[in-house]
Amino acid sequence: MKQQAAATGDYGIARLAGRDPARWIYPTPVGLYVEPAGLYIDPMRVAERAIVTHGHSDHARGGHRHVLATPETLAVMGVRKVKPKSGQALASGESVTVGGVRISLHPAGHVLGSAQVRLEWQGEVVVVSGDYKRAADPTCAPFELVPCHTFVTEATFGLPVYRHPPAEAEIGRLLASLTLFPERAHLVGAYSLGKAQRVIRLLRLAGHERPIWVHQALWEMCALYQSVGIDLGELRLLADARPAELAGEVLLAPPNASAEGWLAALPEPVRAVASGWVRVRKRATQQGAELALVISDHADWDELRQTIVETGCERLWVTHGEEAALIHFARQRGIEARALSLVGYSDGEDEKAEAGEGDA
Amino acid sequence: MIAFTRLLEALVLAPSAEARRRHLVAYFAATPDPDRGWALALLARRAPVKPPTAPLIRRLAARRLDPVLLALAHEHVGDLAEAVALGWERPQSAGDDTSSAPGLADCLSLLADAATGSEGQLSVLEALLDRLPAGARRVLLRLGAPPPVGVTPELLQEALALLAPLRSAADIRAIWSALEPPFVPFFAWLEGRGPSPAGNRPVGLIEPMRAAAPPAGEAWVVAGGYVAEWKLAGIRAQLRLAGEGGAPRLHLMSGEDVAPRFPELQALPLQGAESVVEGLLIVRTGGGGDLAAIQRRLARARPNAALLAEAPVSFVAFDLLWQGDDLRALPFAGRRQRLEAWGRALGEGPVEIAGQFTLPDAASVAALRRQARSAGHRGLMLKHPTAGYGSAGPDGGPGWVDWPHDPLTTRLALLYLQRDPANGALELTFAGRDRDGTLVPVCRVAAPPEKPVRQALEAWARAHTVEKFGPVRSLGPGLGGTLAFQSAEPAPRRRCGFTLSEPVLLSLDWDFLPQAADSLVQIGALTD
Repeated sequence: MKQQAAATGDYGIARLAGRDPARWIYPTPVGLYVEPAGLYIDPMRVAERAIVTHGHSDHARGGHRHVLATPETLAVMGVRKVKPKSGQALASGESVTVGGVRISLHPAGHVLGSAQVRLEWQGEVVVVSGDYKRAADPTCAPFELVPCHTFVTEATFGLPVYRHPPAEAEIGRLLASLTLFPERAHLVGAYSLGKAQRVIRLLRLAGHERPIWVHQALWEMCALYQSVGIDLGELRLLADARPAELAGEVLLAPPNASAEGWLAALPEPVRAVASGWVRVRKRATQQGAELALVISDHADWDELRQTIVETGCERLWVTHGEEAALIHFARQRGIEARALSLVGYSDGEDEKAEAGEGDA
Repeated sequence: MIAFTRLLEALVLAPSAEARRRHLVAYFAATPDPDRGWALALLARRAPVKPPTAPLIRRLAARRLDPVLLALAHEHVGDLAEAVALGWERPQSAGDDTSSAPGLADCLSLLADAATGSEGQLSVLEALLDRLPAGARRVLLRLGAPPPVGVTPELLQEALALLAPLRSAADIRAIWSALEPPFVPFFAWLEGRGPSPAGNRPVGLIEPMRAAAPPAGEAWVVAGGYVAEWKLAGIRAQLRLAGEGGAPRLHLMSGEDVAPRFPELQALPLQGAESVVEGLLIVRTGGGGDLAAIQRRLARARPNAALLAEAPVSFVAFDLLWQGDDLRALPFAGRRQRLEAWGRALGEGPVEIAGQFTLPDAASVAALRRQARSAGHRGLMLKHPTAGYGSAGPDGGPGWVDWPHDPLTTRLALLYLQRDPANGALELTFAGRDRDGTLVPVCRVAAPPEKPVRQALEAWARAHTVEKFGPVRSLGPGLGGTLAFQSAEPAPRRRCGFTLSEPVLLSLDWDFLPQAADSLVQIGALTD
């Protein structure tokens, strides 16, 4: 039925062309502020009240007093040691009303616990997507399409050159490399929240049953995923390994862990990197990796466009990333679009390296 | 096309020759004919295909892409062909299913059959782009571009030898230049399913004899009973004159046939029996040879009259490998006799017979070495009269000894770093000081092949870039190197006034003051 609605552009919500939600929700130096509710979404500085869309460090900063988030995101924040003073869990689909604003969270398909925020005030609906993707991911709930008047989207891969191939095919390339180089350890650089667990789960689904060796920085997050029922198979701590044991095995570590001593002791590992950016040749060669796996936790160009159209939004706000192309696209479709120019969210490799984890 | 794309992507990122070999072997083993043959042709630069030009790609883009989006994508990616390939808008019906994508041979034959004129090419490219996933689209728009760094004919031959243990890399090299893409009979022979595509005659390059390095000291020369030839400043080649007519062939050591570039040799009077003569292509300047001039000749597929007059080529023959029959097992003295007879029959012309010197005592050895340098030769080649062609060298029995001059060295400052955007190759330009202390480019050498060194160089260059001219970075002071070279040849058209022959980067100095660079006068004086 929803498919039908998407085709006709009828979402059962009244058109509100002309009313700009910037009256009640707008960017500030702290972050996107919802004035009637008195709270920020993913604030970049310490805030009294915040909604956190997901647990990546550039969205979930520490020190907030009250945080509204999915139970999984609150758990992730606990593992990441940025637990708020008080956390209120809101399950997907449930709603609370604060200062007349009806707030509900809906799966964003980005990482475990990631959510879009639906805000409804005086009949106007704004959806803040946070980071999201549409491609299937066995480690988190699939993206849910939420019709709205104003859609606030990310644009990390907001350029037509970024179209992610199926992640399963990329995992196939990793397995093919294991066959071709059975004497070499395969070290995959992947962020500790989301990317690492997705790579592991995809390996398991592809039939890879060997123990997978993970870096200390990934250990607790993997344990959290296991505890919510995502089967990652047998994991071992890299620090406990003897180099000889690692021949022909898959190793996972954060992308910035490569300079460490234990790694230098590995004889000729095949370095792999899992990131949407490596679709572009220049970015792939700059990584110094031997195997560039195009696996991303973000919507690619096609998914961004598809989502904007399917939400039926009249207005598009772009938070961070490659805004220009997406805004151009939206305007061609008659959607009023602008960049929010929110600072602080990472969209390049450099910022991410600094943040230690993040999104690609 | 999908498999070839994967291979190319792996080769671009592979950190070592061993990794590249393994990827190649796996590809050749898993890919059927004729796709694998076309892949080999592309990697060996033997496929008759050229990458689409930038104007053609722009017109292609205009058929499908939004100009604003293309501009943004181009700016982000930095390469037009890649931006168009990755940003291509396929029709809605095209899914991610890659099983129906066309193969490499299909793509090439569609391109070859396209109506002449750019409209025909555009339509074929457009249809192919619609049928290919992103990575393969990038490959399609670069078909015919240089292969990734490190993929040399030698590496390909080694990989093919690993594919089928029946044949060695030397066997493959011997028939390499006689092969035509897509090499289907070649793969059959390789895998023991068919006869040699070369037949029973000398085809292409005969596996060249290798010279050994000289032992220490000089006593071994006289004691060994060697004879000497000048090591001329020229390019080694094998000249094949077919008995029953047919054009002469001229094979470089790479296996490439360059005969059409040397019309001088096309006009040779034909000999009775089919013969293969080995020697050096040189452009004579007084006593020695002009390496720059011979390189100029090699670079020109069809030399014009001006170039032929300016740089006439001689072929200085030093060995006869085949004359109606295989002569390689004969001792060198016997082959030499037949070579001289062959030369006499040929008479005056562009082919000469190399001079030979006997070395009765130590004084004559030393005198000959001095004379070699002052005459502008690159050293001496010592040959043992009893050695068959292909014999090992001084320790492994009688053979050839390559005895170059003791190399000269110079310390120079790094001035430019150039990165080939197509294949990532790095080239370094080193400079010496002129009278005013200004740095003047002296020579360009390839960066060391080790990946960490190259990465360190690129990182250093990024941090010390003064100016960028396309792929060339002009660098600030601080990095220099020690280079070895054989001689400094006068080159009046160069700002520094000479060309270093065979420059080799010995070491990099990461803490180098530009004042420490050698002066041009010093370097030029080294060879006088």
